[in-house]
Amino acid sequence: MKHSCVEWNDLPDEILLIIFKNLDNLEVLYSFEGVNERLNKIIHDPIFTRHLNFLKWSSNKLMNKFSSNVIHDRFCLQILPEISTKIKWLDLESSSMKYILHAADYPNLFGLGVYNIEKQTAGYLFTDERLSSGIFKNQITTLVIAIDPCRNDLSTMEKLCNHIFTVFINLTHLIFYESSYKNTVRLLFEFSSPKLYSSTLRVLNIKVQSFHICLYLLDGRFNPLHTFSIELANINRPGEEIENQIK
Amino acid sequence: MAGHKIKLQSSDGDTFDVEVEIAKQSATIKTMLEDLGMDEEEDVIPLPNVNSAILKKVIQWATHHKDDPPPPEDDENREKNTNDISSWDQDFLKVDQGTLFELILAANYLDIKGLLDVTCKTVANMIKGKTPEEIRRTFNIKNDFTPQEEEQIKKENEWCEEK
Repeated sequence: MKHSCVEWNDLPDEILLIIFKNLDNLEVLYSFEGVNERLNKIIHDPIFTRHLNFLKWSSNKLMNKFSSNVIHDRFCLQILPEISTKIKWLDLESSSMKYILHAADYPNLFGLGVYNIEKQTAGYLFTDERLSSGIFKNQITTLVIAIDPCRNDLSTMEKLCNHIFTVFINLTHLIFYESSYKNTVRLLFEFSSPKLYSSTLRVLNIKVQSFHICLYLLDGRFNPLHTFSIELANINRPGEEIENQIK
Repeated sequence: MAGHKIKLQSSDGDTFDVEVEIAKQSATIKTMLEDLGMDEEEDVIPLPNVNSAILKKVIQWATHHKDDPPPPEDDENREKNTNDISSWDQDFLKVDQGTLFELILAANYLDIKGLLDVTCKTVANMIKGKTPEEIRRTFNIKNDFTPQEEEQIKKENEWCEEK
């Protein structure tokens, strides 16, 4: 069979879209951002830029999709600033979260997933001034959090719950994602924290240690809540009466 | 009816006798036969967008896959997996890049989803992990950015490398 003279440039956009849809969004952006104008136009379509997931599963663990600093830098210095206005959702691993969130302004970002969070990175979520007073405060309405299952740190969960609504003041969806079935980090506190309060939260997905925490969560602190998904470790009757009836 | 044949004519005038059931893997041909009431015995189906060499390959693929179950509908949420190409298809697609692209165009025109899937996955595998420069080299793509834009990209690259 003699060689054909059809070339890449002869493929119409619809075919290139079909090819690209077989690849992960980050693979498409990494390989084609800056190749030429036509390809830039195609890969800037919301299909490839709306939701970027920087994680991968490896040996039953969530990890950074890219281990190479060169690839990471290409995203932070070239690609993300170029497409920042198109990004609506980012899924990030805690170790690279800071660099990616600081790489651009993301004016349309509303969804954020942060994975493998432990004490230090949980602290970062609440202390980075630029983000706390910017994106986190004004834009993020959906937050997915997965605590590092290897650490199984109860205090991280408590820290998150006690500070989350003071920084992410526009949250409507808060999901505690379970990234491992072996270690589930649950909310465990002995008193009802007044900081755990939101006038905007509509969906809450959480794992708690005991039934009385469940009752605390339903005492009116999340008034607009319409979807409440909870997993209890035990269902013992609380020792005290909990005021959870809104008058 | 099994064994019943139709005639397919390529853009360069060659005619191929193909079993109806094999030809019907092409949704385009199926529609012609069923909706337009073409007489399978007499009429020749012209395929002006596919040359003989490519049509021969397409028929070879369709013959091998004639007993396959219908491919699943597209689902945006399906897992992206390009490692599930059968070894027969891998061997079948060991062709030069131009032929691979022609097969994609033919599969798209003839609406043969299975062939379109496997050819596009093969190209996707050629893309994986390549830098823009490697992509340009692999697919002979011209850089159409202006020299100023190119200079800007170079500067950003230097910054990236120095870091």
